[in-house]
Amino acid sequence: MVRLEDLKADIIETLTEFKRHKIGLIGIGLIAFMILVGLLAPVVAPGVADDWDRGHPRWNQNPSQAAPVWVDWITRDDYARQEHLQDYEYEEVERTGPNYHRYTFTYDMQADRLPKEIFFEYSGSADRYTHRRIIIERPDSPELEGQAGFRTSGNLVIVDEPRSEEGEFRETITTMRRMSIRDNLYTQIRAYQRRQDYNWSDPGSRDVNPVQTIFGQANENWLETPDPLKGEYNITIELTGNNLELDEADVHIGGAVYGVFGTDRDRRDIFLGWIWGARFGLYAGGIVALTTILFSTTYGMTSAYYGGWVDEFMSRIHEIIMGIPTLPILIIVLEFYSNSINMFVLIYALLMWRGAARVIRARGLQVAQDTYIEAAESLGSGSARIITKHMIPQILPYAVAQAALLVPIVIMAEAGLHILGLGDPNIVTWGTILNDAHTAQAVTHWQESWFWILFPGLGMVVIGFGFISTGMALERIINPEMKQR
Amino acid sequence: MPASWKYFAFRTLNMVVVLVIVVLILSASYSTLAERELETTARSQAQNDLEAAEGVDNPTEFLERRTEHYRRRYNLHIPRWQRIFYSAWDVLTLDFGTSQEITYGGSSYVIDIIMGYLPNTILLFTTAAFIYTAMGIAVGLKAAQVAGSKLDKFLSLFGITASSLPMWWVGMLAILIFVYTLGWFPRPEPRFPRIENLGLLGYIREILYKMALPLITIIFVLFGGRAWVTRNLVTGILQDDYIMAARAKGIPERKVIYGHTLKTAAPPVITSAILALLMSMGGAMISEIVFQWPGMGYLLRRAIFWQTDVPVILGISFIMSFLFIFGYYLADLIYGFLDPRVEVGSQGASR
Repeated sequence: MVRLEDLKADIIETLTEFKRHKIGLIGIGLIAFMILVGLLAPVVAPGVADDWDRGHPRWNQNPSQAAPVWVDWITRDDYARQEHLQDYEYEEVERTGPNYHRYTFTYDMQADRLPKEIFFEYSGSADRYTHRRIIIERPDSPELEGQAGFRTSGNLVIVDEPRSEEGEFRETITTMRRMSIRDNLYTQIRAYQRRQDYNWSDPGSRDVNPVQTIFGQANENWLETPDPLKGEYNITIELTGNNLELDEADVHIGGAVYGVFGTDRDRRDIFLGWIWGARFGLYAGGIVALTTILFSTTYGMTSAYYGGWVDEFMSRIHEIIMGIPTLPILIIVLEFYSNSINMFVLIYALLMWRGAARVIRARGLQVAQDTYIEAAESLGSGSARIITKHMIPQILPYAVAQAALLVPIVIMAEAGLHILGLGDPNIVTWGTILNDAHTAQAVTHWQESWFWILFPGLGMVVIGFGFISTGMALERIINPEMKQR
Repeated sequence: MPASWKYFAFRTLNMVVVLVIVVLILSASYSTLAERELETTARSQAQNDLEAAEGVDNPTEFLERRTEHYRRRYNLHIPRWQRIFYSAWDVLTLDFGTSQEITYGGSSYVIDIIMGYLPNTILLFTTAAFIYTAMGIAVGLKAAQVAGSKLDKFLSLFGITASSLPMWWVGMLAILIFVYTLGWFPRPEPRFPRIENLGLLGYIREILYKMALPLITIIFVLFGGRAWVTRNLVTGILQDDYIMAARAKGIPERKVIYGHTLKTAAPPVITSAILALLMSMGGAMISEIVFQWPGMGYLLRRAIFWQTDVPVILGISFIMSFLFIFGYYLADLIYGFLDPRVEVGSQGASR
């Protein structure tokens, strides 16, 4: 075996050398940072890889395609934040017939950029019949008329519907997902407009953004591009029913900004997925790098040490492996057998050592001719001892440098496979996120998706820069001929 | 020269062996799935025959006979390893079968479809390759001449950064910024303009306009790495003793660079350019999907999306393999031609 002290001395020497290569140092720092991120993924974002499916309840209360939260800090506009409304008043009226429950939440809206969503949640039990109403009392209290003759005394009624219910029920109402909310708002505001006799624009109910309308000023822009109306809003959830019992009611405000990297169209927190992307990327890249070091050293050393017909034979095999195209093999195997990430890693591990093996063999041939190897041989050292004690320490840095250059290639290839539709559907990598952005046509809207496209790719660039600059610096240190004059 | 004939023969043999191995791997991976599909087809065709036939005395026996008939037609009665060889032969003779979902110019033969899409890939990719290789070599040479200067340092940084950029991601950003935000380039669309409506000049202009953004993206991503590799190869040679000797003799620097250095640098520079070109093919295929450029990558995405289009996937894989293997072979031949010192055998492999 390689003596540990020797190896340690080598590593320390290499690291001291490294200090003179500024770019290499930056590279090592970036790699260390990304490895830390990858290792911490299960702590920082537990379960995210399993919950990444489209429509998983974990993301239900997030806004869709909200910008990163720090956009609020660097721009002059005030962006609405994600909020769970805590303040509410509760009112319950017991009657012989249907009883009714009423939760009134207060929301202080002070943002220039309006919230993206409002989520209402409630659960309980009833005998037979319930009636749900969700009413919003605005700071300006315009003279509004509810639909179907309901007098609502200046409030917006966004949900007003009977339900037949027996036993337990649980409901989540999301403003952007319910067509009826949009239509209700449109009807009420159009009726108001007609009484005001303004010549207001009418985009048609289809283009009304419900949340923006709720928080919009009552002026000519109300339906089309609402101006924010700041102030205190009272949001009331009102349920009537026979023997109605309510367990809880909840209101979440979906922010105009959310999370470190924003959210995607399916409300998933991009940052949490990004962390797992680093983990899976480094997992794939790391395993391929390790197998590359192992295979290429074994191959190169055997070939170089024994020489003769062994070398000749192994070189023939190597030339054949060299010519095998990676992508077609990947496509066929991943499409027809299994598209799990381990299959991808296996194929890359089987193919990627070939480039490094060539370098190792060439270097091995030089080392094998060194005089101290000859000396060791004449002193009676066995071939195993010569290879492990004298040759491998000379060769290993080359293998490490080559393997480091491979890591970004593996990570980029894995991500690219997702765009081709061959990625592992059960995990989340940067490729998963970018493929979602691609299929959702995110490229068409700068405002709503720059973060969705930018950050996953940036992860690849950071890791790529880290490994390539480290690998290059390492090559320069072990092979001083490459230094600039 | 007998030595170079030996080299040529050796390389050709190597290429053929690799090609056969790859085709066997491809058709072996493919045969399990193909077997399942063909069994289903044989059974459903026999069922159809039964429904079409009138007055069959023994339906079960009839069904069995017809199924056996179709199984024979699809070679399902012979062992699998034999079928792998049969399908390998089909692949080698470019007989990939027909596609269920995709047609090209009215034909649903896979080879016709691929031949319809392949020119578009070549148009984009080869144009880009010529430009970025020429630019890369020119800038790399310049940087090597002034090694250690600001230009050289910037190139190193740019080379490392560009090498860590996924081309298709840069493409997505470019579309987001330059197409949909600034509106400088046309929206990506898989349709090409028609020559009949535009006339030749108008047609070329339209194609160039459509091609501009993908082309710029590919060049931007690949040129830095190319320049950097060239620079490293040339600086290595500039430190060789004979260059020092030439300089010491007082030969002008221009002559040292373009005479002595380039002569030595040409084989590795050209070969590595060809190899880099082959390697980047995969990245360019994914970029095609992002740019909706109707080439091989775009076709492949469609075939994978349709799931059932196994023949198209197999066909594309083979054509890609063939282009790769043949390109690799050409690169080797060119290297041998440019650098007569190359020998056959283990010495040749150690370059």
